[in-house]
Amino acid sequence: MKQFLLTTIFILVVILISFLLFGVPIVEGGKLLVEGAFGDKVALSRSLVRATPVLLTATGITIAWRAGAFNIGGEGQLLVGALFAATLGKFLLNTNLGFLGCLLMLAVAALGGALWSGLAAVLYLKRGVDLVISTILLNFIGDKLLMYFVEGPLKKAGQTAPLTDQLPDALMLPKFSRQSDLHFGIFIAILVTLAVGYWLFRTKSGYFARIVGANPRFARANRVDSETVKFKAMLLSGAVCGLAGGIQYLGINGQLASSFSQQYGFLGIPVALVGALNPFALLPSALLFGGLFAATTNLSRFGGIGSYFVYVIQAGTVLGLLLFRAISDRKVAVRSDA
Amino acid sequence: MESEAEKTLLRVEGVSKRFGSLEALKPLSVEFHPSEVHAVVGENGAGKSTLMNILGGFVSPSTGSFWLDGANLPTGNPQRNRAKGIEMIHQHFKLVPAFTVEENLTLSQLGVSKKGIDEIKTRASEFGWDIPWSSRIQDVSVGTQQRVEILKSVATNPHVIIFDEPTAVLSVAEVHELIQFLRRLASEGKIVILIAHKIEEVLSASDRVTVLRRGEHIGTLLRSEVDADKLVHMMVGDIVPGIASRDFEHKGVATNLEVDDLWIRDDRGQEAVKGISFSINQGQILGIGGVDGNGQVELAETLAGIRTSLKGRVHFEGHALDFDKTYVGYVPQDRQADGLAVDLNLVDNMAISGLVNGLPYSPSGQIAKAEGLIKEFSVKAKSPRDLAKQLSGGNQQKVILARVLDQNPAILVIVNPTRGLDVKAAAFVHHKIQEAAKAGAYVIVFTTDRDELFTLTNQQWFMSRGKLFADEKEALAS
Repeated sequence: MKQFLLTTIFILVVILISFLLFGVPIVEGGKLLVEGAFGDKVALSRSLVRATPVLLTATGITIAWRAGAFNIGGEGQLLVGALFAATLGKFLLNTNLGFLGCLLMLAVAALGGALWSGLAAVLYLKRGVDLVISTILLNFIGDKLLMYFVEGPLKKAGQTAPLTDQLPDALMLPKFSRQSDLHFGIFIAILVTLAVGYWLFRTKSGYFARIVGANPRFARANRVDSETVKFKAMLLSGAVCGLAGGIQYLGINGQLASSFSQQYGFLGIPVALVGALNPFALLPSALLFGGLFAATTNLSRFGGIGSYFVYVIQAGTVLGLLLFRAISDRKVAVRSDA
Repeated sequence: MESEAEKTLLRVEGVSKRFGSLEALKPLSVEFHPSEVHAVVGENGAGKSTLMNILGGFVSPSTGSFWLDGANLPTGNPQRNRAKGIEMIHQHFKLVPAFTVEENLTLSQLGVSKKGIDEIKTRASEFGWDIPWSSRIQDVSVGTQQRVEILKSVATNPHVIIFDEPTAVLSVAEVHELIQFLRRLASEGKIVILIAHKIEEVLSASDRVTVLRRGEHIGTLLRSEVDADKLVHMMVGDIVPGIASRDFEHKGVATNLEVDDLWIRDDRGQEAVKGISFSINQGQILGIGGVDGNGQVELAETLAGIRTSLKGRVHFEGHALDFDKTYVGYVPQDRQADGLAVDLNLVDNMAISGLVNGLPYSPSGQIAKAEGLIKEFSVKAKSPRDLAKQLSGGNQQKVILARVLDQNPAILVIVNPTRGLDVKAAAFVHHKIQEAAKAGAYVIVFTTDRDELFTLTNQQWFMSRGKLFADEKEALAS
């Protein structure tokens, strides 16, 4: 909680500095930000829509990192998840499976994500390939793979633009109203996050993941196989990130474009860090970032500053967090020296 | 009037060191003479390393001073000591594995001496050493790494060279060569200090021997005044008789744990345990003593089911020991690295044994259990939610023992059960271990503490270079 408050304050400071740097009037800019994020129903729903995929990728990242498997590939797993869902979607176009079809697509999205993280996990297990490196690189491959499919096999027949077929509403996640994009995915995301929280703190396998992440040698001394635990955590992590891709696909457009990615997979990392890798704290953290994402689009009227602002905040937050950790680690080290 | 020889003496006067409540070194005065190899011997914890670290400037003494060439030396400043001509060759090499030999030497001379690498090469050829200058450290043998370490030190042409257990990592042939080299350095007029615990090496290398035991200076004698028997006696003192073996009710089945011709590799792939066999009965405590690093950890890990053996078998009550069926309680040597997840709380740290032993996950049950064990073992913690790293070493050890003993393990493997504990806590831990044995556990205790070995266990062995010896002297001489 303390960490969450501190980072929130830190984010405000980063925003303030950025405003000064870019010459945005502070009061007016601040008002726009708050209004853009939580000002009215439309703004709030926009924030929630942004928070949904970010909450899921942050949850996915949390699973892996807690077990000491540094999955940086949430983006790639999200993209491949969406790709899997859209591939199945092409076959479901002319069926009337309805909501069942939607669930099926979500399942294959999770499968796709797990496959993508599983690739890195197998490389790690069999060849000792560093997970950070392999998952980062798989992000790029996932991105290009999606691009290839959208411009090739999945492209809608008789069309020049790189777009897949438009799914009928019946196959998509239900929306709350015609006026907003807010869709059912938010419930799934919250449910999955709570379930992961339960798993991590209330089950044996979650406990083993935590001890492997906390100290693999402690795990080994107690005959807990760290490698298997990490492998499973990677698969689960990828599945949740893949699900985020599926939900994004089925909740918003029902159509994939090569520009599908909004970097939600990357954004999941700062969200997870601000939430201190605690699933329950991810909820406010995701809302904060979702809000920022939604609000910063409003700022583009001041010129140079715009929707990219959220990435500045993202990077600033991670740096600030690292600084905070380094300082507190130093304090501990100094104390134990004495 | 001071003679020439007295001027170049290294004199230690009333030096002592206290770490908290532990008196690692009692006040001691010794003279180290030029042109001599002076061995400092003792068992683990005797205070050898403390004394050498004080000499090297790595540790400040609590009392006392030392003098070189009749001048008072500063304490607690390794750079100043190097400048004054005192070099230390550490047991764990201070080399960069990915750098070449030459790069390592260049690095070591930065800011210390302007002597070029050529001079070092000349020195090496004087010693008759063939060094692969452009090979990376990680690719050369341990013996060569040690020579590089030595070259780093002799490059500054020091007056005093301290070798910290230099033979521990060497093969027999390399040990022989090293001893020749030490004699050569002494013949050049230097003060050579050798920290060692192998009797045979001490006797063949040194001119003078200082014996330490539990931080106390037992004596300094000329080589001609000692033999192997006398040295061992000085090092270990009088032997305390062990406790009587207990008779256990036999269950009608074979009630023993039998280890037969066990061979085990260490992490580097070297054979660390070479054909060990022993057997213990139910309710017995088997003790394995000896100096650290002779394969004890590897043997303990294999008995705990976390390291595979190369060869040999472990039989338990008539069958091959199956770790999935028989819970082996393991208390590892390094409590912070292996025994605990220091960033997690006591509940999480205490739950592990039960969970691995098949208990279901129960948050409330685990909290209650942790509270109970904290009370029973009088662990000094404010709450079971305290992080393990907030506890002192002794209390951390109690946490580990508590969770393991709570499972009533059929077999108990404990490494250094009371290291770092105060007398009262140690007595409590001993009592708990004996209680577990009385309740029918097979207990194997590894300890470098001789008193503990003889007071706690029914059967004593000594481990040296991967083998077990019934006789301590034999182990030290091997």
